[in-house]
Amino acid sequence: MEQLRFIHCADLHIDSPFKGLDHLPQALFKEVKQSTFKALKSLVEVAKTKQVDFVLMVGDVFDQTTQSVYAQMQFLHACEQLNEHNISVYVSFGNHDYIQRDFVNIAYPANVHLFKEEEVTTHVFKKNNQPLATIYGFSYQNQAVYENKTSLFKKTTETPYHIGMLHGSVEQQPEHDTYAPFRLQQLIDKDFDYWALGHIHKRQHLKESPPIIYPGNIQGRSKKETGEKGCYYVELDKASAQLTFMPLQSIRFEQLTINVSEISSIQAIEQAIFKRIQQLGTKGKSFVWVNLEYYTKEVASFYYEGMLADIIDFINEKMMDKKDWIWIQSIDLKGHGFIRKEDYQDGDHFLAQVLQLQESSEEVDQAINPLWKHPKARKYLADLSKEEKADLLESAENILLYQLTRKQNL
Amino acid sequence: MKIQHVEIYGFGKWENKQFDFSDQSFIILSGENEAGKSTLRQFILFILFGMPPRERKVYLPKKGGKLGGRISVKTEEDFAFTIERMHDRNKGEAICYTADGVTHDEDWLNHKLSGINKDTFLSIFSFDATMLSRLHQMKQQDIGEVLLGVGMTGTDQIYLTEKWLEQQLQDYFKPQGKKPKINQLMDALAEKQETLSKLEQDATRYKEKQYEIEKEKRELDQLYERQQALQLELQRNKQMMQQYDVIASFQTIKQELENYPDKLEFPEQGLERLEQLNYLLYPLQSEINMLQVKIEKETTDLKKINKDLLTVEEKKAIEDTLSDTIRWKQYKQDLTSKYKEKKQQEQEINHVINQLQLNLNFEDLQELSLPFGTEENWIQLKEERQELYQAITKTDHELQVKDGRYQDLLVEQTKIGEQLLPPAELDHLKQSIEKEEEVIRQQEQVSGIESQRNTVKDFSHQKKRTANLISIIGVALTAMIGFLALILEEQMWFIIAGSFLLLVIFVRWNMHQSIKSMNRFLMEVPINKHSRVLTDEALSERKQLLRDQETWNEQKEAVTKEMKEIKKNRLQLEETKKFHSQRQQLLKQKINEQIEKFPVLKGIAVEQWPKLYHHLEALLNQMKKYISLSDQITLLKQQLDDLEDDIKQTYHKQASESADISDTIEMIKNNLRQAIDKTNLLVHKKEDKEKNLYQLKNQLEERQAKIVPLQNKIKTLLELANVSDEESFFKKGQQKKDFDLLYKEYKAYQNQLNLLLSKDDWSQIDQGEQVVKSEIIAKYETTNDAFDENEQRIQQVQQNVSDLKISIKQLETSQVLLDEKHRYYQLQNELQQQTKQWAIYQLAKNKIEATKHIYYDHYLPTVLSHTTAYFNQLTSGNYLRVLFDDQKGELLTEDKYGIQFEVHELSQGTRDQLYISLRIGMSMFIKRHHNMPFFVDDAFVHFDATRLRNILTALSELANTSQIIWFTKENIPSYCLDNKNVRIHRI
Repeated sequence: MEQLRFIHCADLHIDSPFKGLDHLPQALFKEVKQSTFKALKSLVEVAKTKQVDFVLMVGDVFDQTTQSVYAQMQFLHACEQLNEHNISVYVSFGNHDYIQRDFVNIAYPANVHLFKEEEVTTHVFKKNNQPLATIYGFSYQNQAVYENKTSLFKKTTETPYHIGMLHGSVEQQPEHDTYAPFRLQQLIDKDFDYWALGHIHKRQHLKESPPIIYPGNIQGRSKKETGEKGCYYVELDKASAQLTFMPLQSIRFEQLTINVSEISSIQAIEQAIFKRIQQLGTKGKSFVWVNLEYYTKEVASFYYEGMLADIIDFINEKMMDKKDWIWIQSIDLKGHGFIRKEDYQDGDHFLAQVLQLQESSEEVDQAINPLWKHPKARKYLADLSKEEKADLLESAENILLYQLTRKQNL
Repeated sequence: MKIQHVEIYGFGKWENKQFDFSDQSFIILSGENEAGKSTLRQFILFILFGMPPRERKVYLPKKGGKLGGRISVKTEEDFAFTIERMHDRNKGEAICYTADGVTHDEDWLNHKLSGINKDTFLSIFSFDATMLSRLHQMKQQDIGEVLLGVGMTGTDQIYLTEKWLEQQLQDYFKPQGKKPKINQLMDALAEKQETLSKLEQDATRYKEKQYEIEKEKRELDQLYERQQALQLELQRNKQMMQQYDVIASFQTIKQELENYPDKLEFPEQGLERLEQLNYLLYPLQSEINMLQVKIEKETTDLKKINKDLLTVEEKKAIEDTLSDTIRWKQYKQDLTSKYKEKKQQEQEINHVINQLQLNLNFEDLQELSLPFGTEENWIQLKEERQELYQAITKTDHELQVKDGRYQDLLVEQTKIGEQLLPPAELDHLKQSIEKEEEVIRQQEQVSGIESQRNTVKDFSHQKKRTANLISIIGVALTAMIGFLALILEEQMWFIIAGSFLLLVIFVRWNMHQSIKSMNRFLMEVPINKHSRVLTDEALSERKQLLRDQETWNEQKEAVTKEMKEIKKNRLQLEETKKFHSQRQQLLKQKINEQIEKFPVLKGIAVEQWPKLYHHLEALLNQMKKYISLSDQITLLKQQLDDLEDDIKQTYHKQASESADISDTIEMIKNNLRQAIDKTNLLVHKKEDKEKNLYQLKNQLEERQAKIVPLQNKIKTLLELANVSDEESFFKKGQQKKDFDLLYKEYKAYQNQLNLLLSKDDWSQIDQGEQVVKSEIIAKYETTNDAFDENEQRIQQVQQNVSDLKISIKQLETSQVLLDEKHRYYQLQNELQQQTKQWAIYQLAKNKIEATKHIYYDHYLPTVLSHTTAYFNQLTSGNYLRVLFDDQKGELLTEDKYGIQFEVHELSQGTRDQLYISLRIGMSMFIKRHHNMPFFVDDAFVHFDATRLRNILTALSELANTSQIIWFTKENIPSYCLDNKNVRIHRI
């Protein structure tokens, strides 16, 4: 039986903006802008090197934000390159690029096969003129698809392989809107050879046999999307599936947590951070969010007095010249450090009373309304989630802890 | 909780030191600076609450040794335990030992301390001077708030934190602000969004542009197609236009060809053939013609020669005449020499005549003859003339003398006339003299003269008047005469005028004198009435004048007499003169007779005549010779003329044609000689001519034989062309030739047009459709316009396409949207970060607010009741109460008179007391749950004795319930020593 070799990727989010990046130097900013394009290029390179049969792109090729024509052209160019190497491309659109259907008038080369319908349709892949695989898929016609689409996936051909492309999430999966929800068992029941999933940015193997896979996105875009990002190179035959993860990201997003309990001078903090940064350096260009835990009062003081910003500048400057630069985006305090809230919680004293306060969500809203309801600001500000509110309250507490207890011991 | 025992293993300067505080509640630790009070305090804090390693290191014993120690405490419940901490053991964490021998860890200790940590301990249970001095530096208006905070936390941290938060919030955001970070970001974002949405619109137009470009391209294709068609059409029209001349020519030729007959009979190459034959024929014919002319000429010449030839007799005659001419020549020479001689003679005669300057020419001389006696006649005339001349001259002289004398006398007579007075005057003079003489006589008689005076006077006046009148008239007259003299320019008149003037003057003067004398007389007369008119002198004068006049008269008579004598002499002389003139007249007549007879004498003085006679005689002799020569010549000439006539006669006879009457003999001679020569020449010529004529005739015959076959051939050609003569043949030949030419041209055009024009056009034209140039041009122009229009449209559409392409390309390659989008999101991120930060501060601020309210409600009243008690005590009862104003959120104090003051209205000392009271009140409240020892650290340095006493009293009261540890370097007031609770440790 002929083996199938293909690439499974999803959530390319070409030209997507990034979260949590600010005050970047021009050069870095440029790299950031180009990172999704670079990742796309890398994808093409991998496809070419591996001489795959086809590439599956399971939704969210583009971001929902309006695309520059430039981005469209970059994608077209990628398709053309694949076409030159006789590699087919199967594309479905997801919740982020449903709008992209409008761009079908772009003259995609013949190797590009679009799933334009919201109904599940098929494309048959032929190798040496023999039908080898049937690929099933659908595209979002609107921003959201809430119904379960699994029932629409039905084997319609006699090709040796059947591959499903599904941009959606497991029912009740938190963190994401459950678009095109499915249950794992439903997919397993289809008796397909491979389920190419999309939508979840975190790489996940829901099942190994048959492979039901989220390859994650190909380029991280916020500090939440850390580590390597890329696609799967799949070698499939009837007996087994060989999945190889191929990192594609051009810039990594990393979080560093450093124990600074033994540290009370600014130089020591800098040294500690720099040491860890250098260790990271081997992994390629990265944006780093540094968290200091078990911090001393001094460190807290440095933090609240804005003295850590100098460290950031200092280290960033040092790293800038390197090819695989690392850019510290922020240094934050994590947890409570040496100040133990429990110490203060009991008793009648003021701080104890502060810590005993339990603000409701509405109270938080009320407090922040002057800004959140400000006519100019409100369009840029989303309602805060519970978690976010809790985070904010904790930060507020931390500040008060720091402020109300400082200087006494000096 | 109370500290019982302190044991230091090593901490800073302390080593192996023990303090025993057991059952002591007011402990005073007293010592100088650097004694180690603070270190001891830090040690106690270290053991109770622990210390970060870095801080601990500061207290490592100088001499080595262990850092650490232990403190034994006892709780309210009399539960005793010992806390031990070592720097290098268990990360400095505490080990607690209880009486039952069990050890406990840090958590256990924390629990025992009921959540009091170092910070809270320090803020509540520790007093020192720093807070007070800070309080002194506070702003007046903030002091209430600060003290309120102290009432809640024991420190100013609430105040500071609130201030800090407020500042942060302000930095981040103001609802109406521009400068705060978030406001700036919002504005930047709004701006960016605008840019972005514009760019996004561009991006969405990409699709439209693609449709548009497709549309334009389609149109372009159509336009190109049309352009091609138009191009073809245009080319066709252009071809037609360019070939119009050809077409027109073609059509003209076609028409012309139609005019020709269907069949033209004409021998092949007829014209050339005929020409060839003629080419052969013409020279022969012309030769024959020439020969005929030559023969004719020769014949004529021969005839003429025969005619010109002289006969033998004629020749003989001519030769005779020629010998005559030679003889004639000899005569001629003789004649010439004679002429010469005669001429010479004539010249000589003329020469003499000229030399003598005679009134005589050559001809006169020929006529002149001098008869006998002429010579004597001429001599007599000469002598007579001389004699007469002398007599006349003498008489004239005498006459002249007499005339001169007469003139002199005339002058003298005039002079005398002038001297003479007129007779009247002379009479008067005579009378006056007589009168005077009579007066003289009368005077001698002297009689009554006086009576006469008036008469005389009147007379005098009258006379005066008369004199004036006379002088006026005289002058006038003189002027008139002068004027006349000027006009007439006659000397005589001048003289008259002058004389007249003199006369007038004289008369006047005379009258004046007479008047004067009269006057004198009048003057004198009155004295002497009969006095004299004249003086004696005047009288004698007058007498003299009278005598002079008589003399002059005598002279005048003598002159007149002489003049009469002269006149008489003159008459006699003139008589003599008259006689001489008559003789002279006679002589003149004789002379004139001679002159008339011999004109040669005219103009020659008579005296010269005899001399002349001799000269004339000589001349006449020469003249005789001359005449003889003339006669000889006449004879010779006669002979010559006769001979000449003979010769001419013969000549004319012989050569009557060429002869000219005027021909000279020389010419005749030449002519005759020529005639002979000519005859000789003609004889030769005649022979030549005859020979030549014979040859020519032969040649003629030969040519004539050659011509015949050619003429036959020509005839044949004419028959073939069906014409009768060559002219028609040529005409027809030309016609044929023209036809052939036209036909050839016709074919050429046909080929050309067939090739150049489109099939349709060609066939139309070939079928004879008329082509009009203006129509072609119009068609061409219409097509051209359409072409241009189409071209323009193409360019326009091309431009559109390229514009679209550019803009599409731009959109495809432009990263502007990309950049802007990323910037936008970057800004948005930033905004989110900043708003979160703001929210944190906002929430923190809210938390403080909320806690404060809880405090106000639940704790503050209790705290303030304690505070009031202490404040009352510390101010010695000046202030009764400390209150909280709910509305203002402020502290108030009330003095013993019930007047309330806001905190900032209090004096600094009172404020310090309020602070101490608040701190103690606060502690009293807190220690309900957390009874900890109080640390007092030189807090009251600046207090005066009364206050210090008050406060110490208060503290000693406090010591009843709580342990107090007072670190001081001061002398302890004696009253403290009396207190049973007080223990002093000097260090």
